[in-house]
Amino acid sequence: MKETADHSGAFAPAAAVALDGVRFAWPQRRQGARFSIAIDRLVIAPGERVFLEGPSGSGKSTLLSLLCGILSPDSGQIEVCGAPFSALAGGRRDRLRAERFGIIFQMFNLLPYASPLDNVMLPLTFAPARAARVGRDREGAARRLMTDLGLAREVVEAPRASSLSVGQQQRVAVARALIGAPDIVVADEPTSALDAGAQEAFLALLFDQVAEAGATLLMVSHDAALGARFDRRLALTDMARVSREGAA
Amino acid sequence: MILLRLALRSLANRWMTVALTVFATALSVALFLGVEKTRSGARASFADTVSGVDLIVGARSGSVQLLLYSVFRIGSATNTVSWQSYQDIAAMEGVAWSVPLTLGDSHRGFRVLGTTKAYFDRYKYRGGRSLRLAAGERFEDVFDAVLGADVAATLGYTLGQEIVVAHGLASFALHEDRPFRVSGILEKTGTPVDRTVHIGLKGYEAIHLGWQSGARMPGFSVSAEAVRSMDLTPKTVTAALVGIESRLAILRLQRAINTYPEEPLLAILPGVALQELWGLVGVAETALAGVSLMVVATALLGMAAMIMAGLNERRREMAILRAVGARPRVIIAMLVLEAALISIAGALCGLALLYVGLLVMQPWLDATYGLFIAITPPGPEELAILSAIVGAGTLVGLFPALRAYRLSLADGMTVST
Repeated sequence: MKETADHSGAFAPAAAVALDGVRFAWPQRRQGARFSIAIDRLVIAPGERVFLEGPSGSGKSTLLSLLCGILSPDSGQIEVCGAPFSALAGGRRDRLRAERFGIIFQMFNLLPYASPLDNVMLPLTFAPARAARVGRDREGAARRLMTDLGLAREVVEAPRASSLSVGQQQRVAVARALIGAPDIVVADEPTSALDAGAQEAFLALLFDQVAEAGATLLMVSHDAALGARFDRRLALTDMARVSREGAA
Repeated sequence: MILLRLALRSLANRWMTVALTVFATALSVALFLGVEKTRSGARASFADTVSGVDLIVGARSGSVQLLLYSVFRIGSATNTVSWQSYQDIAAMEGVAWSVPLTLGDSHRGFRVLGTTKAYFDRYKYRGGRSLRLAAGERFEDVFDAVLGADVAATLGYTLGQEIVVAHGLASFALHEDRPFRVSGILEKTGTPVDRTVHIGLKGYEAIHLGWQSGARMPGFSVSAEAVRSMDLTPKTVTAALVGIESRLAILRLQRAINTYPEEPLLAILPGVALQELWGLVGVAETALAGVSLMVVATALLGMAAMIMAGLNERRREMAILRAVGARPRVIIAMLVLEAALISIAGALCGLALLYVGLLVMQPWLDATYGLFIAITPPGPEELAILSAIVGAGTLVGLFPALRAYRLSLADGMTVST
């Protein structure tokens, strides 16, 4: 991680993610309401495990899209690992996202028709640095990672991801996020469809793997009870707001 | 490579709709290529039918009409050429050979052609091939007949069999008192010759002795044996094929015949008349090609609609791709690639359908319409058409691709469908 000077002039490690004066509002109005996000300052340190909590509709997905550079803020800046993420042109932002972020979706969102191996190798297609880290034998690296995550050989060799159980899909999704050691792992409501026991097992697996990779973890959930296990918890309700049509 | 694999797997995941789309595209491609193949086959078939003939002479009418009835046995002559005029033409300076043709009668739906033995030497088809007998010999006797291959095959005739010629093309009046004997059967040529019964000019004259205005004269009765000893010089012929000594003289000879003072005649150059014919049928050809092109366009638009209809279900797939770093143009490329793959599959299946169709239809077309369509590997023109269809299909794929691009920008990383 490169280091940058803070306001005091001392060198400090660059933040994994830093948001400064970020403002974003969806252009469309829904049922008279206009959703917007306003964040004055948010810094997430490298290796930190941050829990973003908020009820459904509070803007978690919007914030994640902003953090991952799929949406651009109306104003303000977003930096990722010291790079001015939000100021980059679309193509470079996509490349940076591919290189720096590993993403675990709600319901895991594997490509159902692709094999688990192809699902895991997919991010390497768009991230040359991550691909270089795993070496020329991408498939071998993907197999090793999947085996380390406890996936049996027949699961690794399965022709379609849709044939896997929910638990197996979880692990494939984690492998896809971790392959090539990205700096930041983003998990979007990954436990929303799991029972308590499965939630616990999944979080243990996620923490272990992220710690081993030395990555920053940013998890979003509406389930506030999970927040106790993270280094820091942030409430989205403090950052996002819904303004009535015509209101400021 | 992984994108191609994903595109293929994505298509396989929707195999039912994809298969239907490929089938629709294949049908349209087969139709379009089939029309082109039939068009070029018909032209080649017509061009192959008349080879080595410099001029065709008949009573003055239209050049296309003369060409059609004299060579292709389509339609009928409106007038005849007197035997004297025919002889004058045959004796003109520069004429190397001439073959008289007399048409008008039929046998069980097949035309009967009265001619001389020179016809078998002078008539050439497919770039100079001569007629060859598959069995028997040319007509020697007045009542000998040589059958085209299709006549013999269709009616099951063999050598020595007696056949009765009917007066006119669709007449129940038969020349039953003077039957012909099958003396020879020609090899298959793929031309109207296959569907023709050939008899000698004398035989033609013989069966019409005692006939007037399409009916037998009452009280006139002469046996076939007695006819042989009568003067059977024809009074008229329908047309004549003419070969010339030097092609330099062709226009002079044509002009001389067209200005023949004794009766109004018409001499045509077969190639020029064929061009005139293509000019006449060109509008229909263009209309047919236009319709089949519209069918192709409809199939390609159907493909775009199929991809477009599936986009809503696939927004999550696009969001995943975007989240792992795929640029919007990768999304566009994937969908365009899908359209290209469907188009390629449709084009190849269409080509296969075409050849299967040709294999099945070729004998029937040949036997029924005398249209011989050669089964040959795809030529440069067909490959160009296939490439154009694949290119158009790929281009059409841009519509859903751009829609997917816009959706992927709007959806961000998550989709709330």
